[in-house]
Amino acid sequence: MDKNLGILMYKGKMYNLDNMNEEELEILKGSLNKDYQNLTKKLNILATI
Amino acid sequence: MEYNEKVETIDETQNASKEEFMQTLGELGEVMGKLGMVSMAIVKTKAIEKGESFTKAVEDKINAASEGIDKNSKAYEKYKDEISKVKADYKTAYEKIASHHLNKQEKIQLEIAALQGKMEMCYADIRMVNEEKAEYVEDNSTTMKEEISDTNKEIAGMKKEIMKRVKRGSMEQGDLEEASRLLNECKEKENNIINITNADKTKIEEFDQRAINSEAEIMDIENKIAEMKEFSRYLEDEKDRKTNEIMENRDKSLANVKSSKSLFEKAKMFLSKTFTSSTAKTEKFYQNTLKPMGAKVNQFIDEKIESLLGSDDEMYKTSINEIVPEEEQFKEEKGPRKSFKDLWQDAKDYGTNLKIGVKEKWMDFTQELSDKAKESYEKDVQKANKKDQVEMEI
Repeated sequence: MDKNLGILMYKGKMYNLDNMNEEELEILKGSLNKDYQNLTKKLNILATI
Repeated sequence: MEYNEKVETIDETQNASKEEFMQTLGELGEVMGKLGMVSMAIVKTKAIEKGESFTKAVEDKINAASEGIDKNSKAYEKYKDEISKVKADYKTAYEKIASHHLNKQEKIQLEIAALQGKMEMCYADIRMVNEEKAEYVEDNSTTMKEEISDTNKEIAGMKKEIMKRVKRGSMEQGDLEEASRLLNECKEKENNIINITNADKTKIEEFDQRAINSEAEIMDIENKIAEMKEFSRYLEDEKDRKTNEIMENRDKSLANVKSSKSLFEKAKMFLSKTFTSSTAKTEKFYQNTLKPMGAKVNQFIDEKIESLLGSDDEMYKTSINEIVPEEEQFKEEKGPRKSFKDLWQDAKDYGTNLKIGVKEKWMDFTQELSDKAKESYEKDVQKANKKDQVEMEI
């Protein structure tokens, strides 16, 4: 239970994952999910060129 | 020429799209890693709230994440090997973070693994270049050779015709003019052959250059890996050296405590013998003061020895953590630094306060001087008035 997840660098900002609450984490996850969707779309286009 | 240009354009497009794809795949891997960390932080928060096992929750999450990629997508079909690799790396990183915090040594190991992965990509690139080169030679060079051979045959035929015309040299039939025209045509065809050969040579050189670049990159990576391995060995030696130092210090402390205890035992025996044969007063002093004090000291030494002997593992672990501190921990320990702006403001405030203080002191001083001068002046005036009055009275 006491494992530390440490710092996450994202878009030039530092996030200390151990000090964030669930709501803050969900917002960060939402941004990352958007990036994930965009990159997947880009990959699909590139694969068909 | 048109055909070659077209081939080059297709090659360029394909290479650019492959490069872009690999780069995007890397970015996706990074985002997936970050997403994994955030998801794990959420899992951790929820597990803590419910009082459940974090490790178990993470294991469940890994199993769920490994099923998360769309296997019907064209990208998956075309690059499934690379995706499997990213997935495997992602899972390894996930497990690694879940198991424990990475220390400096482990970070180096991960970086070395990443560099080795990059090196594998370079080897793959060399293999790909060689395949492309072989394919090009098979397709283009063969066609080109046939083309050159046909053109050479044409040129030979034209040269025969030229010779025939030159030999006959009939002005009426315009032999020389025709021979001259044919010769120009021949030269043009020969130039075309040179151009085609040069273009082919350039293309082959491009392939070779790409392979050379990848080989150079491999050498560069190999050097980097060697440097990192050396640094890793240095860290390992440094850890051993510090550990030995700690152990030696511990042994010395232990020996010191043991020696103190032995001395104390001797002193206690000496005192005990002395007081046994002494008066009732000294016996009372021994019983009420020295003996309880001795017992306390004895207990303290016993506890000290016990703590030194019994805490080997903890002490070792703590020491090792101290030797290789995490960067974040290091930052946290150091605390936030004051910015230059804040320091400058502090200096300015200090200067302002100093000025106010000096000014106040100066005002006091001048006031004091002024008061004294006024007092002295008033005295002089009084004296003068008195003198005038006396003179007038006289």
